[in-house]
Amino acid sequence: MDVQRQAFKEEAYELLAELETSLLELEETPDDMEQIGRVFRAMHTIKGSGAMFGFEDIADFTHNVETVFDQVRGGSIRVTRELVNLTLSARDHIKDLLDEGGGADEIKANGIIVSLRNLLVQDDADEEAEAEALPEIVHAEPAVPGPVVTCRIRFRPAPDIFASGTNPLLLLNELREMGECSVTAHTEDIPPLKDLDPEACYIFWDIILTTSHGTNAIKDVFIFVLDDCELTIDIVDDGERVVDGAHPDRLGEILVRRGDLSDKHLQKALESQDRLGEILIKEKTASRAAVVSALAEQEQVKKRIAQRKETAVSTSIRVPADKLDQLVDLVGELVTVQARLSEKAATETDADLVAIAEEVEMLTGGLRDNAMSIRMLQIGTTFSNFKRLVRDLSGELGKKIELTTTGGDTELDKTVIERLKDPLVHIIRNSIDHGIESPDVRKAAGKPETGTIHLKAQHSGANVLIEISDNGKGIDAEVIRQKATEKGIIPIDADLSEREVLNLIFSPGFSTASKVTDLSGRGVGMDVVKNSIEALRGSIELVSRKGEGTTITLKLPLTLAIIDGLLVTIGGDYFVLPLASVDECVELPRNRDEKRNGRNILNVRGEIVPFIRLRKEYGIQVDRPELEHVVIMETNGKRVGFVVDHVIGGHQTVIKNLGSAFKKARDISGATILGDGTVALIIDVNKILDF
Amino acid sequence: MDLKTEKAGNTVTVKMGGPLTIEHAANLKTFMSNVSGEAEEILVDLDGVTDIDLSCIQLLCSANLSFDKTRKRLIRKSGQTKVITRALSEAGYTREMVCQDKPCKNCLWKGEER
Repeated sequence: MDVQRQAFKEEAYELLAELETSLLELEETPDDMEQIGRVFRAMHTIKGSGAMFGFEDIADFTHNVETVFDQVRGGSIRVTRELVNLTLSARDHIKDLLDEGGGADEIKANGIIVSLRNLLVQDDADEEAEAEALPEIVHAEPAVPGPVVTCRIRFRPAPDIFASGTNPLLLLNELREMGECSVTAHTEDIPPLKDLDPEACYIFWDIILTTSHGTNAIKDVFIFVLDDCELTIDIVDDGERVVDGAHPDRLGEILVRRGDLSDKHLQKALESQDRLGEILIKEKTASRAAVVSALAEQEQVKKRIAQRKETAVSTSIRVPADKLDQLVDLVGELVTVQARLSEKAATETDADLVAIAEEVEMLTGGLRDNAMSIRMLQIGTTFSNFKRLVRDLSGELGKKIELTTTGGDTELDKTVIERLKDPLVHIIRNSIDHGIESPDVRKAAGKPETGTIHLKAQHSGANVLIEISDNGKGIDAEVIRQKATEKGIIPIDADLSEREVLNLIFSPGFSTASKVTDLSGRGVGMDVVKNSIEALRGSIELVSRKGEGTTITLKLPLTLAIIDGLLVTIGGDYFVLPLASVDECVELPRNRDEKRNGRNILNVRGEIVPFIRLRKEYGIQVDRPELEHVVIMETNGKRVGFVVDHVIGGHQTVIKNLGSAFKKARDISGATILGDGTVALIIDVNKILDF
Repeated sequence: MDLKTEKAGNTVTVKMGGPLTIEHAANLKTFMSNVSGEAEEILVDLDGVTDIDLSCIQLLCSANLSFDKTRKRLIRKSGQTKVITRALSEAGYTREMVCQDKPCKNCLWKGEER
């Protein structure tokens, strides 16, 4: 496949994701013209680019859906749940076409088009008349790009225009098809009933049109009435206005240039401190329609300038993901070599070598941060995907569920986000299936009929916390205990805290569902979720209150490739602690330690801090030195110390996976290679505290 | 075009049905002129209208203007059918474009409805 076709596919997938989000938003706010415009534009771009790059099937299908949405945009059709359902199906079909390269279900496609047509028919009081106006299944023409300009058109038809059989509204509709169009009727010439000629036209229009068609094409619309009407076309934005500092004309300037207001009246109105439009209407120096139309012009031009600014700012290039992975791998190797260079330089007396090593260290750090930031993605896109999941599944189960999100702009490494999707889907499915009750049950329990699932992301040091909470029925610890006993996961007399009991749902093969549904309850869920999260060097926490709901918190590292670590030694072995969680380091002299009578607590400026001896934890037999060090770290909101022999200092840690031989070393999350080739183990602080 | 009136107290309800298009505009003008003498308040029910064109939109605007001048009220029955909404939208009757700068302060389309 050539590069351009591939680029189209990538862009189309992004547009489809955007389309899905917009449709779901639109379902909640059906009158939101901005969302309607977004849906239309996404369809329009997919159609245009599809035709241009040879995806005729996509272009043809999308054209038909786009045509329907154009009518929505024009206010002819209302946004209903059915319309959203059909458009979502259309979106899925376009995705199938992209995935399968033309092998998608044609019967399904026709079904969608027919249903959309039926919807149009239902929507109109006069079915026959509407049927004529229905979009034909037509083949889309490839898009013809041209300079996009914004024009101001004043169209004042001759009073006898009706007599010639011309309907001015059809001319206005033709203009609407040419681009973004704002039409304002001037009704000020309509006389009282006694003076009214019922067959004369008294209304005239100001139209603001942003289009890639030239002024000749606009004139062509009026070709049959050109001699009997007053038509002026002025370009108010030629699409080339300087981006920096560009601003649309002010309301007064627009009105004066149009001839709707004199300079004298403008100056007089400006002397007052009130809003200009209101003053002009109040003083009758400009009609309300003129002001409304001028404001529409201002708004449309403002929008165009903002779009151009955005385009200028967001100039970007597409890079295949595997190239980024390769870059990060190379940076990782470079960091290791740089550590070696720094170490070598430290043992040499050559001042030049030391200076070069320092410079390389600084540049490598910059390169590392830069390479990592390129791979960072906002988690919001993933959150948006779940809106559809919640919508469709809650509908299937007859439940009312709203998905809310916060912290969508939180960034995580691309790989983490990709591998996080499946566990999140499972957790959300569980919430929908087992957590949120049906509306009648909720109502009986005094809860609102609509349940809520909330997704929240936030930074916490070098980690990101992702919280999935629902206000459903919660988890009954007693039921979990019983099931676990029945399944032989725990002995009948096991002495477990409520937290430990709840965590049994992460045991392999555990399921409390009384019946297997399509969604969950197959007993292959939460243990897989836990393993997936742990494979990402993350952890999972569950809190639940019966009748109130459940919260699952995932703690994930920002990145899986390189971290800032604190290098320490114990008995000559090297270890790395994640630097982001390190609060401080304090000394632990042996003579003071012996006075503690074996109690592992430390008084740090009046604060009691418990500590763990890593030497004991890892079974290191070498004698401890006279002066040890305690690295105090914050984890899960608590300060805990880790006793080590020596603190070497900060270390850029390129994470290497341990082989399967070390699978059981649960409190070690990986390894890194030091400058001299020594291997340092990366300590998983959370796991140590779990045991 | 189908026009019916019902009087209750000071209010005459005008029920309009069928197409309100240019071929009926002259009749509509006569009808509206006559009905203005029947009550202080005229309630227009457009639910039965199957089509409306520009000539009749501006005719109803004109009637509203005339009624306003004679201190009578022309009120539209609440809720707008798609036929009316679409016609107004196509004609460029924007939400903001109330005829407040005209003698008819209460726009028939955007103002009070009952």
